[in-house]
Amino acid sequence: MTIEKFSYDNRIVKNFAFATILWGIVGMLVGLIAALQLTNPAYNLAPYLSFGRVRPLHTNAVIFAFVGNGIFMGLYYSLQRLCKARMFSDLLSKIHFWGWQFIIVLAACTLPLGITSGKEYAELEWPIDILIALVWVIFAINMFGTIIKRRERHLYVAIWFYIATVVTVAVLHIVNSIELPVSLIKSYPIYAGVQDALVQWWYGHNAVAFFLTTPYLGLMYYFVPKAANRPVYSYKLSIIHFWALIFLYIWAGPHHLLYTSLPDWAQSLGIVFSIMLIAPSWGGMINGLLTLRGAWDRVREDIVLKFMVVAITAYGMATFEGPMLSLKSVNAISHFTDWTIAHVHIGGLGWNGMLTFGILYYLIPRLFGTQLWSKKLANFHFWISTLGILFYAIPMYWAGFTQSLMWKEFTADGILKYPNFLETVVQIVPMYKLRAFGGFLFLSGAIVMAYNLIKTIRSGNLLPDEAAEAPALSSLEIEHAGKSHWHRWIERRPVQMLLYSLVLILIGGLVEIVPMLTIKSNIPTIASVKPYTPLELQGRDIYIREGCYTCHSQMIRPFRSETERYGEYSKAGEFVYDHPFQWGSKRTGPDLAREGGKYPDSWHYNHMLDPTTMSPGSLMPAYEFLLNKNLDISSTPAKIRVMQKLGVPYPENYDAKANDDLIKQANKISENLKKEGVVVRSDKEIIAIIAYLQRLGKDIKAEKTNQ
Amino acid sequence: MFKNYFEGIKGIEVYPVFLLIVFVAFFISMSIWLIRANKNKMEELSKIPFENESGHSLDS
Repeated sequence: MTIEKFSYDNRIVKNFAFATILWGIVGMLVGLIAALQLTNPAYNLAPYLSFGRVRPLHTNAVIFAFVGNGIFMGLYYSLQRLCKARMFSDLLSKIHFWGWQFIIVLAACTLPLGITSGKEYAELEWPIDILIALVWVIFAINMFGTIIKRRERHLYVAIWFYIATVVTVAVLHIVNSIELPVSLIKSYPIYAGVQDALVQWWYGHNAVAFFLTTPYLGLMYYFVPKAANRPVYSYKLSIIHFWALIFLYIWAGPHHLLYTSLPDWAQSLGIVFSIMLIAPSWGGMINGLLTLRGAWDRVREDIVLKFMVVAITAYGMATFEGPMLSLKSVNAISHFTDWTIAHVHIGGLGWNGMLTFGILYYLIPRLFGTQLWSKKLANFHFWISTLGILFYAIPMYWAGFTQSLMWKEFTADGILKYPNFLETVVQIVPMYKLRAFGGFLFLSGAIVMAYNLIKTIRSGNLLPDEAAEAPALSSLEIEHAGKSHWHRWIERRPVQMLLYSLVLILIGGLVEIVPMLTIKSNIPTIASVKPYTPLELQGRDIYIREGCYTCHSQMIRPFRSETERYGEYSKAGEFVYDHPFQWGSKRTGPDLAREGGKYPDSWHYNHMLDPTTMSPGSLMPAYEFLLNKNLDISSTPAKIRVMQKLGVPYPENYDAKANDDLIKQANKISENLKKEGVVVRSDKEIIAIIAYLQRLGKDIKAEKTNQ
Repeated sequence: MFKNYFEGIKGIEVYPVFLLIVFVAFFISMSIWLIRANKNKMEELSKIPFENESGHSLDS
């Protein structure tokens, strides 16, 4: 047997580790800013740093920049060692690293500028979407290249999780990002309304599954045994964990849309698979924790293990809570409240955050051939971040329950006890303050970690190419012919494994989405629902640009507490021209689906100027700049043409006439405002946003009067 | 309600049944294999992360 000498590329791991630390701190800082903005609207720096633009910046930064780089850091380290091979190509590694950082910088520039597609966790516009796909493919080539030239016959279970991640994220990203460009910085998704919602949450849920979970499980299966210095508790259980997870996860998306206008069958499908998910998730958690059997005494001493134990525990809590939240009765209470925010932060801070910290404390001293600079500081980091999670989550659960109870409470006479939405907002502001404090603690911990790790790095030297040796892979297939089992057969064949997992997730995706896209009867049309006028369309794009959907839903669920408060519940047919849908996922402000005609134009004008004048105590940022900013109507014809291509029935050649209609409608609103005592020119953005807000729910009201 | 939506697709009734069979069959065959799988081999596989690395060795 020939022993081959080679080396592991540690430099790329180091680069991703540095990026993880840097973007982690940036992402958490932006999160803290967003949290503070919800305690006092004065912290909104309009237009670039108002909550509606900061929140997507926070979510994108922590998911794709912090966790994304964390995945690559751990994957590039473990994959090389599990395959006993250097990464396939140093050049591809470099392109992957710098490409990903370039995407992050583009996101950090475009999101505050209001360049967004308006779909949660997929806000980036089409040129960046294409770039993401390209960089991801480069990453995939590099990874499969490494797997193919490996010197270890069997693919350790962590690698299966990596394979599932690479394949699925590619499919999710591409399917959800299919959009028609209007310009370089603006596009409309090809899906509308209910279909868009289904595709978006199929993506959104699976982004959680295949970006925040499966790659991190792969990391868990490598780094927890390494840190504990003992093999995983049950390798058999890890196999079940893997297959059950990728089978089930892909179907669970619709649980984000319970009680919405999504057809019942899709909702039920989502619930069933979400409940089943608890089994593999807990199997995985138990497998992770039991890996520490006989080593629990070391958890007291070993900082890496401490972080990992909290991470795995948080994984268990979040994956128990998830299926519970997908029960309709629980979801009726939790949805649109801060309960969801608490839930995702158990996962985000607890599972992803703590595991990343644990891996960083494990990797950095090894990469630099030294010891951790200060165990005391690391311990401090551990405790302050654990406290931070508690200070974050408990107030958010409290706020969520409070919101829900207040929204749903009726008096003995059968009327809403808190008819003014604002009462339910003012009530939870103290909770928002506590949450911001929790976020501050967590961020402080991360900064302490950065300091500690910088000191560690200074005390050592990077070992850029770690020497290793392993026997070359002989052609074992022949030896084993006829004896080996199909599963080990597939373990040895990464390319086939890629194809099979691709087929699996495509089946799940197709069954879920295709019926929605092909059957017309899924979305009963409503005759009175008409396309938006050009002015309303422009107003809608301002609504999207400002991220109004981050606080306002447009989806009234069929509960008496909601129809009493907002009006008629939402129907699928109302959204057929909504590219993209704007149902939202939380209500920091009231639902807007029936906003049209509720207030006079001047109310909206004054409310945008300073929300607290119309709603004392409101947390909404002021949008004074909309009053002064000219509406760009040069984009109208292009927007109309794209909408026509997407099947919105504007008359032929309407693009040429659209701006005439736009100006007419704008003048009317301007005159109307004048009558109400507000003087504003008709070419300002405020006119368009008023037109859009006054349109919301009008069609369904017209339908009722017709009947 | 379910029925109305699905009626539109030709041969749709086969989909869920087919998928259920595929899923269950896969799980059953995987479970059987796992139960029958060689324990020593499994242990060997679980030690892959510890192989051939300088400075690291297992306690046990």
